[in-house]
Amino acid sequence: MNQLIFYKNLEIFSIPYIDFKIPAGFPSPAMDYIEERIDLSKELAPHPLSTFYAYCEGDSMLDAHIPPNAILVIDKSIEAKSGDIVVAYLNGGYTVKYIKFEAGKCYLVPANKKKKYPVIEVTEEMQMIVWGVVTNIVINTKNVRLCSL
Amino acid sequence: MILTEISSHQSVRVPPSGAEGAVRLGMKAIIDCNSFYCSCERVFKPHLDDKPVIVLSNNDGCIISRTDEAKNLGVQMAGPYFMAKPVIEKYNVATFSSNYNLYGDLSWQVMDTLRMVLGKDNVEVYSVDEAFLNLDDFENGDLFGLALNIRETVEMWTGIKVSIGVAPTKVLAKVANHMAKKNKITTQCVVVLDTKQKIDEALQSTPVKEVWGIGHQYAQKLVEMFAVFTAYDLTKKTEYWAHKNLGGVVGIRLLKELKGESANEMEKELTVKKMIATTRMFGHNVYNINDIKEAVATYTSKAAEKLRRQKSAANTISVFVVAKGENHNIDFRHGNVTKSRYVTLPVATSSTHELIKPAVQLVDALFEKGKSYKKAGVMLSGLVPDETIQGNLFVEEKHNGKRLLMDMVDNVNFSMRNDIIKFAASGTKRDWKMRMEMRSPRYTTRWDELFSVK
Repeated sequence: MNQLIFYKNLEIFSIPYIDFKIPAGFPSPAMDYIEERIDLSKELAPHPLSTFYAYCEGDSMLDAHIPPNAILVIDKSIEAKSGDIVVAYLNGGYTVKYIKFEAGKCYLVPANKKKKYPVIEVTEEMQMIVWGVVTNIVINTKNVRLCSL
Repeated sequence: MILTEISSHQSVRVPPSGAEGAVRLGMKAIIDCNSFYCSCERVFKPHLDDKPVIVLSNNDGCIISRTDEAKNLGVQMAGPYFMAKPVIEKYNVATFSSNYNLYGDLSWQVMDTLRMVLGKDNVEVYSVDEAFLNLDDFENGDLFGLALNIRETVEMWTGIKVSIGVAPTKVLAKVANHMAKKNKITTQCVVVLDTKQKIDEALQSTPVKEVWGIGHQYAQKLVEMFAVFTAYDLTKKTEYWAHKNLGGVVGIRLLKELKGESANEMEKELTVKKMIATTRMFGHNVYNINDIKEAVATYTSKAAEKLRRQKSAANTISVFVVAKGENHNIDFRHGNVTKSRYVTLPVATSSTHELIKPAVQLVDALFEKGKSYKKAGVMLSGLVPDETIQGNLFVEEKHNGKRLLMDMVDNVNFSMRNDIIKFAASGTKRDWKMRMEMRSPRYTTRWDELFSVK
């Protein structure tokens, strides 16, 4: 996880800097092509003011490409639409699931063909809160290594 | 919901229908987070949304934030924790040790959200949970709708609940905010005072002690000596009277603001601090001088870090220690003895080791054997921009190498976040470290403290 911390600080150094001498009188054509460096944090969290992070615990969303220990990038400013992956607060705990709106009802749908977690039909008494919408999933390859090799 | 429809041209202001004397000149707002520290805890624990919540001070000594629900149970603000404990346990009040990393980060998030919505120059951060907003740009719009929109945006993006008061002056905006906070449900946490009638009504229902800037003692004096009971009564006084009885120029300004004439313009945000202090309670009483030195050295390096972050250098360092009073059983507020000393350095500096040395020497001067100490602090003042540090006749000019070293220490500490590189004087055990038994995870600043989702 330490790499990620350093990665965060990397943006300090990501200012484009061209270190060659400029010949007087004739501008280098390369100067016209300077761009901002690719910055992954901007892609993952374009909306930093409403973005939060959490770890996934468990495998109920394995088939939605969320293995255990994946980092979920959660945007609180987005309104959940049917089919979105959401972080919901339910019965005193957080859960990550697909959200489905159908015929006036709301469901939290897991994605794990092997284990067959139940689909949760959300009722009024459950006081379910959609905490935020998962916009990106960050997976450290250490967590998904092939152990048999 | 539209409260007032106003059409106005650049210089012609048309009063809203039905109200005499519109006062829509340069509207201001104050946005204030509701029980901010408790709100921060609730962001990550939504089931506490309608439950009583309190947050304790450093060392779990006092209650420094409480929600309305806790207030209704009779939990006193700033009261000692142990005294409220029976109520807390009986009603199962959710109790947290302070988590300043989290609060600081969420505060930044709220303020930045405001800057994004209103424009950087229209936001003046007043404290960790309050900001003044300049609404001049929105003069012709529906102010209630705008404020409601701001409130909802902040809540949606950051999870923090806020109240907003809108009025022609800062003091009146505070009055409006107070009204919003008192009746959160009926007002939807937004109160706009934009006509003379609304302002007068608000002032009539505001006791003078609740006016921003009037302390309890002043309020008592106003009631007893001048029969000034409400803020409205105060507006009937003259400026001459205010100068004489309300603290001179400050009083005049207050009176003007109450009458709807702006006297406190938006201030440019003060990003550079004039003084830096680091003070903490010890986890338990400390008797040993070396423990205090260790603590003071750590505080000094923390303060120096802050100093370098704002690119300043300090020429004065003061240290204070608080010894436990002998008869602390009788009076816990006046039983403690604070002693402090300071030195002025020959040259302003921002380098940790140049600051630690005098700080530790000050401890030698302050420490009395046989006493037990409960708190210590370090203050750096006489701040000047770091680049203007000049040598004087007797001390040679700074070497740049040191600055580089300090930057490196700061960078490493910042990325590792655990003060991995420390000066030897800071010790390694830290016996005196703050007690924080019920602190929630630092959800937004530490990878290893993110919350888990099943």
